[in-house]
Amino acid sequence: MPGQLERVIRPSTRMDQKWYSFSAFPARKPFKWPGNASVALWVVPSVEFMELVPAAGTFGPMPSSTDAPNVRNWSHRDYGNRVGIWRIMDVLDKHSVRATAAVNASAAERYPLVVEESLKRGWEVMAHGEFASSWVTERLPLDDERALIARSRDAIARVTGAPPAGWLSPGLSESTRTPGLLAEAGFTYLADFVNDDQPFRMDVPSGRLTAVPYSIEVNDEVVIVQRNRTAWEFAQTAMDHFDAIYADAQAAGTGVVMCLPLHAYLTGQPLRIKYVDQILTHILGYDGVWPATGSEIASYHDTHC
Amino acid sequence: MCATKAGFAPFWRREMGPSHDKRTPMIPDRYDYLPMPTRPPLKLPNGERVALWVSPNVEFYEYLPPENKYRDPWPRTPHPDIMNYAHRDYGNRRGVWRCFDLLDKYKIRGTVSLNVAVFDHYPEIARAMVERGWDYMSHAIYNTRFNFGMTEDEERAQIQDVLETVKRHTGRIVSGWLGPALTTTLNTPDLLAEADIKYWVDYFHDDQPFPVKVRSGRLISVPYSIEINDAGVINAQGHTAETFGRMIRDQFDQLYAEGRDSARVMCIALHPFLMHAPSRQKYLDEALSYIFSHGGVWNTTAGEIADWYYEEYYDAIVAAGERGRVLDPSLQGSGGL
Repeated sequence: MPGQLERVIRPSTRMDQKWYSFSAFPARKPFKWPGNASVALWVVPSVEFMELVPAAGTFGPMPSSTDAPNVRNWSHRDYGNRVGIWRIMDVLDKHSVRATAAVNASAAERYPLVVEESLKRGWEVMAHGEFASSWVTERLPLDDERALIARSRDAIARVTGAPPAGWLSPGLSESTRTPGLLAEAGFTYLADFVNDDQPFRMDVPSGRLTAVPYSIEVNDEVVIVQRNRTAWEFAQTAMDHFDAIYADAQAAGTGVVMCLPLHAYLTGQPLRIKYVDQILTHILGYDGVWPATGSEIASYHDTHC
Repeated sequence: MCATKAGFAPFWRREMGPSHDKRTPMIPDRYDYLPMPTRPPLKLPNGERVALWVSPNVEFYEYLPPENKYRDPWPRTPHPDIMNYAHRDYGNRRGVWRCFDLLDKYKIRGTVSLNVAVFDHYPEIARAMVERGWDYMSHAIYNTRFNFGMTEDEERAQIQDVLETVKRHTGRIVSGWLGPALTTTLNTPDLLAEADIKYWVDYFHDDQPFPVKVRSGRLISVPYSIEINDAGVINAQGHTAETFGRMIRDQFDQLYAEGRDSARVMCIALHPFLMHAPSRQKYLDEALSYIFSHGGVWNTTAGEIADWYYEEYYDAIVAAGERGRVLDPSLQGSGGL
């Protein structure tokens, strides 16, 4: 552990960890998205499944045991797969937006219809760990983490016919080893880091891994569950966020990314879905918006920036 | 990203240490995956779009509840917590009487989510419900006594006590079950079916009733609501009553639109100490007025919804569910819940 007064600066990257370098927004070379667009929008619905009682030693968000099973939260989450995701699909169809669905391996295996319907719409599917109830953390032994990543990748590959290019950790949780393991497993982009409005290259020993930013701010679960705001306040947040980065991008003459995370069990509920429609109507009413998948954003950025 | 928060799970993180001893996870297999778009359309008795049931939670939270190692009913202070105790007591002294008046205005027969001890403490509340022809959904005995950690025999005895208590005070049989403070065991659905209780509402997985697999007899889930529920929205998440009223209307609008093609069930879950507090009731009144300004709403009870579903759809949906199973056998339920 570092001493109290010690600095932990890696000279080449100016960070205190090895996975990426510092970069100041104004110093970056400007670029435009396809069609001269300023904002690349990617919509990321989470398709999740939880263990009712996670295995011993699991770290996760939902305490539950055999004597005290958390049926309430567990069944609420499963609403997304039975009812919620279909509303989200309808709204995205209405706006002709192809999403990038982050799918738990267990959800892909239990609910292949959701993946089939996603593929029919030209959606991309990204890996999202195995269960929403089991997070990746530093406590997971290396081999177990490697195996979890492989199982997540393989489950998506089996159901979609191709290994997924992208990864989103459950709970935005990682160990100190995760990015390297992901690159080793063949992933080419990663959503976990919510630290920028533009993609950036991760420093991995093998392969190639681009960070495409997900969002903690414009995130239905953070806004509605953690911050206790309403669905219409979530919509206002999303529209305000878009307005600001759109203006930034125009002023700087460059391209930015906006992520719209949606959780099927939350914004797929009857009382909330119309606000998802409202968000997309607002954003897509502007010129210079490129609705894209995570892979499309990562590939374009890798080639042009 | 996923997270649960006080709004949906206020006490869990604090009270529940890791007590699971199994190496493999437990995954339930209590209902088939028949997602909404794959179901046969449901039709209500008179072609309505939405079956609406209103569930006032008439509860008794004890001053000095028995200890439960899985959860502290009053985490704020060493017991008694008279602030929260009295806040809830308002419901029986004052709130429920406003509730009766408001529901009478809209000719709503409540499906009371009832801690049955309320009837033993306050038989006049039972009489008021009998006069109104309300339906009775068990919310067990006291809301401070949890089903966590109960043995099968203990839970069976609890169910029998509940049935006997309601029968004694009302002459009626309890139609359904909601766990006290939403607590259950892995045995709960089997024991409910064994006791001929028609429906269970601890699953928040659907907008329509759905069969639940049990070891004997039959059981269905009927949609109660974790979202349109003032305990979550107002007490846990701190939203205003005005917001709750708007949420009710937003929920109704969407279900009403969808109900044109296949009927939906909507529940408004209330706690008289909350939504019938003086500052709040008018927003509920406005929301109910909005709902009943529409035709095509079946103003009903959960028991009637259950009866309709068993009569018209139970067998067909069970058959469809079995045909529609696309589960990887290796991920099948490992028993229990």
